[in-house]
Amino acid sequence: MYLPIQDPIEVKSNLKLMMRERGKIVGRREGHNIWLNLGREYLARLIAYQSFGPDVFEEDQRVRYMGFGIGGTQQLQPATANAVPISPPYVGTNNQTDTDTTLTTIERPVRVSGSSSAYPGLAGDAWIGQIQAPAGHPVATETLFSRVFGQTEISYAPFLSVPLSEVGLFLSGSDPENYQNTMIAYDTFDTLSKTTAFELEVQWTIKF
Amino acid sequence: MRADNVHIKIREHGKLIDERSGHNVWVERGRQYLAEIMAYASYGPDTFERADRIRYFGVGIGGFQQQAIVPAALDTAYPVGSDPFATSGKEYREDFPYIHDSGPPVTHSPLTTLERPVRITGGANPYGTAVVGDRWLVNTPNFFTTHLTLFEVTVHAVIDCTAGDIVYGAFTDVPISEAGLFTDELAVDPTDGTVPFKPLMAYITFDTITLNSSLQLEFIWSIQF
Repeated sequence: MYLPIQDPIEVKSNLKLMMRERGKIVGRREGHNIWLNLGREYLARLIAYQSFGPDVFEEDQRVRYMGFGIGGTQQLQPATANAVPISPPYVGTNNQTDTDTTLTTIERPVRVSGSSSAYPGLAGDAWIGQIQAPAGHPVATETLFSRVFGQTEISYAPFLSVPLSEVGLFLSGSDPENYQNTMIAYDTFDTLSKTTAFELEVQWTIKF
Repeated sequence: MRADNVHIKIREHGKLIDERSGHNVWVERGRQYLAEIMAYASYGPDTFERADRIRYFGVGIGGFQQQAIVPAALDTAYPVGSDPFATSGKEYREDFPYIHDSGPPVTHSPLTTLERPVRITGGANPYGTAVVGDRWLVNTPNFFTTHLTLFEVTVHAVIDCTAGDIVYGAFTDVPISEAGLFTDELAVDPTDGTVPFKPLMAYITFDTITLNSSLQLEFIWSIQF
């Protein structure tokens, strides 16, 4: 039996979010996220040279960061997301879907660490977190990007309970202090409330 | 229905006389390449898992769509059964190894090389005694890339038989029927002619094009995401 090989090269991905309290999983989300148009453009540049003799890469960024938000259509706690202390400063709408490949940024990004200022935040704020290196390869044709967000990351005073509902994947050229980095992959998920009691582990697998 | 992503223009004395179109397969090791190239191996110092890019192109006389009787001189220089699967010389295809009925599904192509690669320039020794000076891959300036759309990279490779590419010495008529794309990974050393079977990332077989000294070919190969 032969299963057709998909072309254009199809980028599939699975996302697992696991909230842990003292090591025990207390919340979990799993789903398929979307590889955005910006991600497709990135791959088309990544495998090519811009010029030869000397050979110059067209693109030399790699996948390096993850970032969360409280936007997206799957935000199930709008009352919390739109009330003090979350909004302001994380004011915004919940319109983004994880079927729209033209998205470019997280809709309502939240900080990993830093201040409690409204957008665009302050110098020293970290809006995206570095993923672990080396990346994993569950099988040869897959890459697993993972990151554990600690108890006081994302959720810190005055944001003691943050209703997360969207996540993005970012390249190495992104600026962690910028709240509006462009992303290459995106997912919106049923709300997970991040508090200082929990660690949040993200496992993002890209399959070719 | 999938659109063709490989187009071949055949010119004689500059005039377009024929065209071919087909669809490639991005093989298992090509998918592994994509999974690795986007990742870091470490931070501080930052190192990438790999840094090779699509850089070379090669052709051969193997592949399922080979329809010609291969001349004796070519059979001697490019003997069948030398490829990693020790095939009969006309077996490689998109869904190799083709299995009609039951058995495990083939979702990723296991092909790793051309079935019967031919030299661009060099000698006429059989594969096992190929020499350092043999050149098996098309390189710059006859290889370059463009972007026809933002979501694809297009490889252009030119084979100029009027300048002695592939057709030389006893090789007066060379029926090519397969092609591959290669990165500049360490295993693909274009200066080492003693290794004819170089590891590829994408493969295509097409209806035979018999090269002679008056032809020029342009391959236009789009990799779409």
